[in-house]
Amino acid sequence: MHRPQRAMVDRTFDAITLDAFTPRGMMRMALNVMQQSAETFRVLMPGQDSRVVWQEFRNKLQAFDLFEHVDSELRLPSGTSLPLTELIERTSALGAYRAVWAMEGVGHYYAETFYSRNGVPQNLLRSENASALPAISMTALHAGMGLAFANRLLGTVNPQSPASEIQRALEQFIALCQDNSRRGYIGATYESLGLVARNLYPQMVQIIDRQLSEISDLLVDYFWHGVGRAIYFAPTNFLPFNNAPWRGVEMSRREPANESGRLNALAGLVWAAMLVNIRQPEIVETLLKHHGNELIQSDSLSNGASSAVMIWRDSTIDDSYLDAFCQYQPKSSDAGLIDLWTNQVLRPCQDALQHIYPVLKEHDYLGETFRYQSLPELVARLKRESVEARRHPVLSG
Amino acid sequence: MSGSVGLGKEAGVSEMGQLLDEMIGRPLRAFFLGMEMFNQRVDSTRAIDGMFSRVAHALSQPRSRNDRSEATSNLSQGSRMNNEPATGARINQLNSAVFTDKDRLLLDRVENALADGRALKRWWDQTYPNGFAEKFELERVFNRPDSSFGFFDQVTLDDVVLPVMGNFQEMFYDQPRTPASLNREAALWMRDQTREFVLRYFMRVSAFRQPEVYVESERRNLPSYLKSLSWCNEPDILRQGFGFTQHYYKLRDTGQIGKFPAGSESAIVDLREIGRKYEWIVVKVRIFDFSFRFRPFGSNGPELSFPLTEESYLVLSRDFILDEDETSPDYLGRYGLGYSFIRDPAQGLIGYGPGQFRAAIEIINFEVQKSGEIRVSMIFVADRPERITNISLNPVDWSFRLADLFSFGMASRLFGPVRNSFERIPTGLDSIDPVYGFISLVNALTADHATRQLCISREQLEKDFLAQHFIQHYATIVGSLLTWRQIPDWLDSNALPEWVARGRSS
Repeated sequence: MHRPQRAMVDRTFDAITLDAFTPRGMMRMALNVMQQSAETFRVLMPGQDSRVVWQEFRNKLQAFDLFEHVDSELRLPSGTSLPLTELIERTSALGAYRAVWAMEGVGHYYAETFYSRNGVPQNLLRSENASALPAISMTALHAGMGLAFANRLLGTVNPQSPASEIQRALEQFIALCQDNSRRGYIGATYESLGLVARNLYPQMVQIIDRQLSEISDLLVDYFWHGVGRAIYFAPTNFLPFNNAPWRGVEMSRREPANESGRLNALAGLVWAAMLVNIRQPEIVETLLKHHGNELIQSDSLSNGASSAVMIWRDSTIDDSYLDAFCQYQPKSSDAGLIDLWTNQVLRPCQDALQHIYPVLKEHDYLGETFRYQSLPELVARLKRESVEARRHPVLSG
Repeated sequence: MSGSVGLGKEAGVSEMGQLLDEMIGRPLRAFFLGMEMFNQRVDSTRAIDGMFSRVAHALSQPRSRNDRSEATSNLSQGSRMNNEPATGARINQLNSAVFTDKDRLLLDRVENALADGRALKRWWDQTYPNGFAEKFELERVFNRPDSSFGFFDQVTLDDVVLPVMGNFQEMFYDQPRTPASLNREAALWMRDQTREFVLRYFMRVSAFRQPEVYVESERRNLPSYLKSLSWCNEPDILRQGFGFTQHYYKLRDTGQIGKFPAGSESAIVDLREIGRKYEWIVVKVRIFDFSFRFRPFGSNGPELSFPLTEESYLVLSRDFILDEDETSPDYLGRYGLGYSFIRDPAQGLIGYGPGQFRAAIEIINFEVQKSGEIRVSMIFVADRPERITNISLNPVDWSFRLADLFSFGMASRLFGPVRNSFERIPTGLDSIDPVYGFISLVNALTADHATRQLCISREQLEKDFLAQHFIQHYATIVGSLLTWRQIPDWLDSNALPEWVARGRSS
């Protein structure tokens, strides 16, 4: 069914069920109207930058809408339940781009609903039933599940809570991630803590950073990567008036207390910008145009871009957007920008898809892309370990 | 584990309850969750992000997940503040015949308040004079040999990192006026007088009445409708300083907790008995003329004046009593008193100040130097305010009360089942602070220019509070000087006026 017809049917359906007149329905309607308006502005506004920021605004709205209203999008009957396999099946029918964001919403919805009705979940995405789930759903499901866990547990503490209480909440979060994540995807679950903390509990960010550093530096990396992703989606960065130049770049450099946090936050920001706008590479080009010089001070740009394309490859069957992205040539005649695109985005992405992704997939290490690190070094280590394991199967076993 | 989500509890919730929850409960939850961000100590950008994210998420999340409020309702209550009563810490020595429920509520908080006070004092001893995270000028006194500063820092109390603020002030008090040949003798005399005055009488005489207009006592009382037209002077008592009264004690030897007998409240015990006879005593202080002014539209605009709680309970233990004779070559003696504030069990409109501190101490030390000169130093450390006012926001309760009023109680009976839905509105968000809300809002709208250019910030309010505190203590010490000078010999207890001996100074 064509999209306008479908929207018409949706509205009729909503009116019949009165959902359109609830605050939630009105919120969704507002999001839809904003998306339509953004599209109108995009067409009417003069100048490449203006069109780009309106397109980006629309993409963000769409991603948010699909995540939050996944039950409406999938037409889940109120008060009933569906097996996770069916939820995924329905989500996959939405098309490659929409399915990725809706899948994250499914992960969140499923974990939260399960938690509400049955208590603390165990083996949510690692049980025998879950093992039959399609691999392309895994990353987004884990990310969504992590968001639900983080939101639950951060709601139980505040800045005045004793350090031991906050520590306990974080340990509970870690335990939930470990108990419910499938091997190789736990990084996606951990990273969600940063997103929830930065956008729903910003008063807790520095405290969590301190507390996590007492548990594990790796967790701190995931956390700041999530904060970077949150900064991309932050309401103050949502409106097109605040983009091009993107304030999020400066915020990602300013908010973390140390260099490692900054690298992760920047990588997380780029990661989110890439995934949301993968259909329009010109948006990423505009980001480079305004912030290329800041971003190339480290390899967080190439790291975020490489990780994003690998996650996209892992989350979709239809690679047409990815192919188009990898063949994109900047419209600008600026040699510096073309050079930046080629060296910081295009080549790292091609390299990631050809050489890094297969190794990470083979070793169940895709969750590692949810934090900043040297991916070539990670791959080299995994290969080395693999060789060692073949040489000394008893020792490695 | 099942691969699908069970239905269980959902079936029990009425359709009407669900509809009302969806139509009213959800937007209210979204509103409260968003508003709560204005009470958080984060910069305006993150406050706005937090507010919009919370509102958007609360409005959008699927219905079955709305019970998140149960988790977020703990936002304001999740932890035990140190000054809160500890579970199971009720004092078993209480005699139920003597103590009222109010007494017990208060006494339950004494030990924790004392522990916090000791920790704050330890922190102060380790941090003074140059270890503060942020130290700033607070007040200047023209042509007076005084010094003062304010500070912001953090203290870890029982595992909780508590942002604190405070001030230190030191001032000249008195000196002997004697020929040089008698200096040593005069200095020793001053020391003995100071010791007695500070440790025995200071708390009895630290409240004063300002000069009052003479009012003829034989004049007839006017009817109320004529009073507003009258030019006759009316009795008008202006008090200053601190009025202490003692209420509870814990005996050192037996651990017995008791109440000071009626009539002896103002005659505060000799502080040297604390540590010998008493483990601690609880006193109540009445602070006169202490209000917090808020001018949202500048110094020439309308002013909101919040009279801070005038009464607060305090606990004094040996940790806060200073009684040292010549332990250093620099001075002849040091005498002082201090106390830890006990948080009032009842929450009122004012969310900060005496009676509402989560943890606070005040220390007043007198030092007699070799020359006989007396100097006073005062230390104040308290938690930084999370909020200034508590404006109750419980529309569910308001609505049902109003509906009951007009329906003779039928509303509650008819809509009782759906009321449960509304109870899920975050209970920790049932009050707002318009003062901090205004600051956050105006900074959010001006991208923090209000802070940078107009000093509209929490820090500025906190400094104003400290300045007010400084002035209050300055006035108290200066006021006590007249009383100190008025008595020729503080050691001659038989010659002391009754108002001093009984502590009826105001």
